[in-house]
Amino acid sequence: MKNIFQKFIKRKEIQEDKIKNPDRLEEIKRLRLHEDEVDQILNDYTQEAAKEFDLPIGLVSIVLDESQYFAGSHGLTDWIKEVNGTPIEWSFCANSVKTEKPFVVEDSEENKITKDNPLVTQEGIKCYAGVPLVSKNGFIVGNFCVIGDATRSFTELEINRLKEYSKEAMRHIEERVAIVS
Amino acid sequence: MFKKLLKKFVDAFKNYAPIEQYGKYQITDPKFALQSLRTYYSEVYAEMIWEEACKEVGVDEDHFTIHQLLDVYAFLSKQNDLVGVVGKSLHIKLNTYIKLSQKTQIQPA
Repeated sequence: MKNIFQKFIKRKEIQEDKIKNPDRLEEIKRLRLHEDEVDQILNDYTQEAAKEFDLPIGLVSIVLDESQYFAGSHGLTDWIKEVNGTPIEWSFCANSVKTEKPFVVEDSEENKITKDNPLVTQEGIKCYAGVPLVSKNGFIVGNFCVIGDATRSFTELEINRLKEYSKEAMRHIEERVAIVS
Repeated sequence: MFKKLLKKFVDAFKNYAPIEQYGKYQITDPKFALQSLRTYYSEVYAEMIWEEACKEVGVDEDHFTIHQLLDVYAFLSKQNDLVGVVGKSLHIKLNTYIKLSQKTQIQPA
């Protein structure tokens, strides 16, 4: 199939779309972040963060073009665990890809961006804090985040702590690629 | 050709009832598949990718089930270049739809 994949088109509007930007998606491909590979180290980071924040869920979420994929996770249950991702429309983490900043939700039912999200109305997500996963080439490939089922505020110190987790996770991802290469 | 392929997607989904409680975010529109490929590839190449994937997976383009569609996406997700990322993305989206359909017990009879 290799030859037929070479007709790649780069329209201006796609380049400007922060989620669908082909260069960002290519970076995800370079980092092999779309592959179904259980990475215990990433899982451990998410578990450690969830424990530290006393929240049930931690994720290394990779924001693809139509979905988000969890390259590392802790605390997922039910269908989300089976699918290991969600459609992009429901992704809290996609907000960070768009804004290039941390995304924090203290009460999802009061937040205008998240209040109608089915992960809030049906699955009970109440609080969220996520910081961008930035590759060495400067692309935001997703978020490192923690999630809870009760309202919660996040201090600046805690957001900085999440940034440390994000850097550690990204460092591991880059090293993983270097070893395979 | 594109319209014909699109109709096949619609046909593949037609037996799946909407997931009411997922409101405006429900995934009832199968158009996203080819649209996704066409976002990055020319119409002709998007169709070639699709046809080749169906052939490799052994799916009859005229009669495939929603689970076979999932298999096609899984195949795409293993490809090199951007197709792999797009395939993975589509796979998660469709799989969400399938799992939620099962969860809400509105599978087709």
